[in-house]
Parts: sequence; C-alpha cells; structure tokens
Amino acid sequence: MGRKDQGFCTCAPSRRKAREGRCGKKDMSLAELPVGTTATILKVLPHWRGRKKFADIGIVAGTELVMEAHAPFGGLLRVRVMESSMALHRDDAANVMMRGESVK
Amino acid sequence: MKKCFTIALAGNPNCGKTCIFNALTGARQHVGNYPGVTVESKSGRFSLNGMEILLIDLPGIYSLSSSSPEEEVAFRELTKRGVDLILNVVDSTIPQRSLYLTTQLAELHIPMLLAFNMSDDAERKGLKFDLPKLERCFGAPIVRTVGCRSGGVEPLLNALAAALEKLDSHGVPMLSYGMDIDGALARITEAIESLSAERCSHIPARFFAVKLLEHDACVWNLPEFRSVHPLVGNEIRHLLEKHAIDTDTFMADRRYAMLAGACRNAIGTTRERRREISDKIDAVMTNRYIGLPLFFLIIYATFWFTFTCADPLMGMIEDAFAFLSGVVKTFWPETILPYLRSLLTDGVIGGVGGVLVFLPNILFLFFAIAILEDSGYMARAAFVMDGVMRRFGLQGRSFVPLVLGFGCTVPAIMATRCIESERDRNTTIMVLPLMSCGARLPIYALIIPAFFAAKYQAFVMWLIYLTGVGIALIAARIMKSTLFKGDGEIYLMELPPYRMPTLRSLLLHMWDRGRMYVRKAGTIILATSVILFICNTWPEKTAFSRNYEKEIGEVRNNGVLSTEARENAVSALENEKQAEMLEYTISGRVGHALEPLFRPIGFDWKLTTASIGALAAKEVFVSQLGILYAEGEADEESVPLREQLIRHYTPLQAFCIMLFCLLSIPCLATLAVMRRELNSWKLTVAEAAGMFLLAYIVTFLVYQAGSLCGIGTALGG
Repeated sequence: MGRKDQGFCTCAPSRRKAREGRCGKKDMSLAELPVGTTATILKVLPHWRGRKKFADIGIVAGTELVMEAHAPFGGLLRVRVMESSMALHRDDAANVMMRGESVK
Repeated sequence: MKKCFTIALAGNPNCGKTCIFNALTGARQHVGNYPGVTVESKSGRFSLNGMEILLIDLPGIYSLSSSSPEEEVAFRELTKRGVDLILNVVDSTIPQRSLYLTTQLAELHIPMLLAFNMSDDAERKGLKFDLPKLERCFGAPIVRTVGCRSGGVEPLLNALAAALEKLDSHGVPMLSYGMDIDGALARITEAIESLSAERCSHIPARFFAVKLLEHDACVWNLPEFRSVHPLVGNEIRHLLEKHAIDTDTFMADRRYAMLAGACRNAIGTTRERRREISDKIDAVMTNRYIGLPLFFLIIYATFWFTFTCADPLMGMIEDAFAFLSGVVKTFWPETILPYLRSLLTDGVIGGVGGVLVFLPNILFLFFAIAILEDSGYMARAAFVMDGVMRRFGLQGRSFVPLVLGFGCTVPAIMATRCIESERDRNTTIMVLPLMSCGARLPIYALIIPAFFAAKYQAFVMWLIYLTGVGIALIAARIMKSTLFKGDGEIYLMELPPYRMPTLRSLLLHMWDRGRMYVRKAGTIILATSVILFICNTWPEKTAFSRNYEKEIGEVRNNGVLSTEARENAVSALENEKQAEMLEYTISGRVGHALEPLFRPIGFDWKLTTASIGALAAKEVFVSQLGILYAEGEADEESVPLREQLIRHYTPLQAFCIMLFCLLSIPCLATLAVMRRELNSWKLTVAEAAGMFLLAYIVTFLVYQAGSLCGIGTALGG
C-alpha cells in the first residue's frame, strides 16, 4: 500500500521513532484498523482535500473512534465517530493516522 | 407587528427534519430545484396565531462549510437577507454531533430556535439536558419535540409563536475559540467592519472572519472581502508558525471541544440502549456473507409488492379510459369534425391514459422505497452494494434505480434522487435507458418466436438484456472517466439507527412522487402524444390507389362467398387502406425519406416509420408495424404479422431490429423526466443524440458483420 508509506514520510522522523520506542506498537492509518477495535486519531494528513469534510463530522486529532465493519468486496468502511456510524471510503481513510498505542 | 415571516429549517441529515417539516406544513409544499444545482428545494406555508409563515427546508448538512453542493445552498440561503428565524432541528440522541452545526448557525446572529428532536428516544437512552444552561450557551431557546409522533410538535408551535413575538430580543451566543484564535478573529473582524460591505451587513463580521480563517471557499470567493485576504493570510501564517495551529481543521476541533465542554456540564447520561438494538440488526443486515443475499431478497420483495398490488388497479385505469373514450365517441357523431374526434379520443385520452396507467406502479413503488429509506435500510443497502458498483464507476445507491429500469425507466430515473453525489446521479440517469424496460418486451415477444427456434429463444432474449446491461456498465465507466471526470466529492454517508417509519411520512412521500408524475403526464407527455398522433394521421389521404369503398361494397354484395370469407376480405381491404393512409402521413414520409440512412443497418421504410412511432412509447413499434403490414392493430401475439415479418426479413435483420429498439433514443416520457432530473437541456439532448449514434453504430456493425459472414441471412431451423 503506497498510501501508508506516504503517511509515514510526512511524520517527523524523530517523533515517529519516539512513539514506536515508547509503546512498541506502530501508528497505522484508519484504513488498516481491524474491525472491532477502538483507536484515537493521531492526525489527518495535511494538504489532503477531504480533511475539512472529515473534520466537520468529528474526524480530528484526539477523537476516539471504533471500526465497526468492512463492506463486502472492499470499498467502504463503517466507522463510529461522535456517536454515529459513518460509511467512508478506504482510500480516504488512508489519510487518517491512528495512534498506535491507543488501539484496543 | 409583521404578519409574514420566513423561517429556515436547518439540521443534520437524518435528524428528523423532514418529519417536522411535514408536521408543520402538511401537504402544502412546493418541491423544486435550486438554480444551477440538482439539490432539491422544499418550502411550505402555514399560519400560526394569525401569522403567515413561509418555511424553507434547507438540505441536511453537517456543517456550514462549502464542501458539498448542499452546504453551499444552505450557506447561500442563510446569508441571504430575509430569513427571520432559523429553526435548527437537533437529533437529541446524539447531541455532540448535532450541535456542531448549531455552533456555526449561532454565529450568524439570526434569531434561532432549537428543536431537540426525538426527545423520547433521548430520554430512553438516559440523556438528561440542562436546558437553561444550553440556551445560554447558544443564545437561543430550546424546545423538546417528537417530530414523527402526532402531537409531538405541539410544544414547537408554541415555542415558535413565542420566538416570533420577540425577534428583536434574541440572545447572544457565548462561543469562544480560545485566546490565540479569538485575537486573530478580532483583528479580522475589525478589518471587515471597516469595509462596510452593504450586502453582508445583516450578518456579524465575526461570522465571516471565522469562515475566512478556516479557508471556507464560499466566503473566500466573495469579492467584498478581497481586500482583507492579505491580512487573513498573515494571521493564518502567524497561527501556524507561532502556535502550530492549522486553522483549516483547528476551528472544527475547537468547536467539538467547545461542545464536549458544554455537554459535560449540561448533559448527563445514564445508559445507552437504542443503538444496541440497531447494532444487532446490522450484524445480520450488513454481514459480509449474508448481507448481499438479504439485499437481493429485499429488493425482490419490493418489486413483488409493487407489481402485485398495482396490477388490478392498472386494469381498472385502463378500463376507465376505454370507457371514457367510448362515451365521447357515442356522444360525438362520426360525421362532425371526425379528425378532431379521433384526436381527442385516440390521441389525447389514449395518450394520457397510456401514461396514467403506470401511476399505481409508481405509487406502490415509491411507498416501498419510502419504507426502505425511512427505516434506514437504504443506507445499509448502499453500504453493501458499493464495492460491486464502484468497479463500474457507479456507487451503492445506483443499484436500486438500475434494477427498477427493467420495469420502467421513468420511475427509475425519479428514484435516483437518493444518490447524493451529482456526478454519480447523472451517470446513473444517463445509462438507465439501456436497461431494457418493460415496454420493449412486446417487441422481443413479437420477433423472437417468429425468427428463432424454440431452443434458442431464451438465449436470444438473455443476449439482448445482457447486451443492454453490458453496454450500460461500459458506458458508465466511460462517462465517469470523460464527461463526469474528476475526483468528485469525498464519500461520506451516515448509517442512522433503524427507526420505525410512520405511515404519515410514507404517504406524503408517495403523494409527492405521484403528483410529480401526474403533472408530467398532464403537460409534456400529453403534448408529445398529440404531436405524434398528428404525425401518424396527417395529412389525411383522400385519393387512394384503388377505390376501396367500391371494392368493399362489391365484396359485401358478392353472393358466392360465405359470410366469413366476405368479412375476411373486407378487413383485408380495410387494413390495406389503413396502410396506404399511414404511408401518406408525416411519419410515413419521414420514414421514406430516412430509408437511405437506415438501409445500412438493415431497415426498410416500414421499420423506420415504426421506430419513429416508438418515440411515444416503445411498444408502439409493434402496433405501428401492424398497421404498415396491413394486419390491423397488432399486438405481440399477432400470428399474421409474424408471418409477414418472416416473409420480409432475415433473422439477422430481426436481431438488428431488437438491438436498435433496445439502444436507440428512449421514449419521450423518459426524456422529459430526464431533463427534469438532470436539470439540463444540454445533457438531455446529448443523451438522445448519443443513444441514437450508439444504436446506429452497434446495429450497423452487427448487420454488416453478420451479412459479411453470412450469419442469419436465411431463415434456419
């Protein structure tokens, strides 16, 4: 997945290292979050055109969300954010980075 | 005191806004489109304590930014002068999410009333609101409502009346974005105020300052504020460098933080229940494995319901129109203005009847769709189907209209309204006519048994349908990468908790669509059927190649023939006369004139003329062909017509006829609805021209290749 690598590149290397060192769990994008897990948003990639739309429904750094389901045949993810279920696209979700150590 | 008020109804999607709108206005609604975009505009009037109120239903939005056409429309409507009060509907079961929009509406400083809707559900969920505290926070009175229960809006009416009484003394919201941002906002606000822009003077400058700071496209593009752009740019840079604040999303972040604070103080919770039930249903409905089969089952049930319930009513409507035309014919003697008489009975009554006969289908279909929509299942269906449809450049919500297209394209196009993205909706509408509709079935039913052996019949039928579907999917892909190219909107769809639909809202939905269809039938479809009737009957031929009257008279008086043989001979002569008459009319002449053009695809002038008739409705092709072959008014079961066809055409030509009828210009009713839903003449004309070209090219290739290879040029076993 090319998007994932791109996501890591935009992170400041020193910070990333510190994060990995602290908890041993890598940060991941929302697209990779397994079904049934809860995690906190680390950040939404800057300069991505959908970030404002996502921010408006509560997908901003610090929000906790739950990955509820994946739709059959790829495509959509179902995420619970701010008490409501939202369907969003996997490609778009790749722009949302989750805090590794927060995955439950 | 003022007697007329304009109230704007705002809220999130799925917050029960429509229920409240319906409860307030009843059936006195006006549905239309906002200019330039295909966002539905709805308004309605009602009176309250002697005040006339115009209620404008804004599209459901999550935020007042400009990230979708809906949000742009809402922004435009709200910043327009003349809105006296904003009625903000809040889904009180999810206050944090719903109040986000409220934080932005409050900044407009337009008097506002908050309706905490679904308050019964919120109570059951264990949410407790400290209303006075929240009222102070947003500077607006709050009223609890239950939009979908009769009587649930009573308190709202009282609160509305009270709010309208004291519009001048509305409260001031207490919203702060934190020290750094408030400082920047104050500086920008000052700059905006010094501009004294006339058009925006009724809205506080701070609202625009906030929007400029978060890079809102709508406000950023207003020419009035161009001179403050450098200042805003500086502030944004300053905030980013000094405080590492990215204003684009930080404002949203602050708003949610603000709400979290307010909710902590003013909203208490004990337990959660409703969501759990909904989640249990969803564990089955959107299951990875049985989600899709369940979806197909539900769609099948919908169609079964529609067609089973509508069938007897359709028969009744048909009979009623036949009766009506019979009555007119009895009271209007054939000798007085015979042309006008048949124009009225066969043209007008027949034409409108032919359209209205689909009304029961449309009503039941939209009733069923309303159940799926209102219960929340439609969003699940879209979720489940999306993966498959996206491969063809469409999306989950396109599926239901496409399947409906096999029945009738008109309601199918009307059903595309549930697709939010304009690109996806337009693509779906434009490929819809390729789904072989029910009216084309008579054509296949006439031709296939005549030309193809029993063992191949099903295969040919399947091939025709599949050709349509295949071309539709390819066309969708092509359109998405050319005509509707681009990134499109970011896809976001809420899956609201399952709710029990109310009968009232189902009926209103059905009534809405039904009325729309009938209005169409009364105007464009009526006009086109009259025009086609004239084309098919005018000019009237008076001098015939043979003296039919005399010949008929001779046959009648022929004592040698039996009565039966005499009748047969008479009707044969009458049919020949009719054929000659049709050849003489505009349609016949156009058919003759166009014959050279249609020769390369295997059509003679009779087929060409019948294709013109098929513009009124596809099944007219069969009856036109019947007249042209002098077999009288034929239907698809007509054996003599089949014999005529076998004598005149090869199986290859027969296949080309079906292919052409499938792919070519859809019927005029479809084009009329298409023009309305696409909201563009240009696209509609392009669609008609494109479909004709497509049909011509495909049929040409098939006919020429078939002739060259000698496939189907002779009637085989």
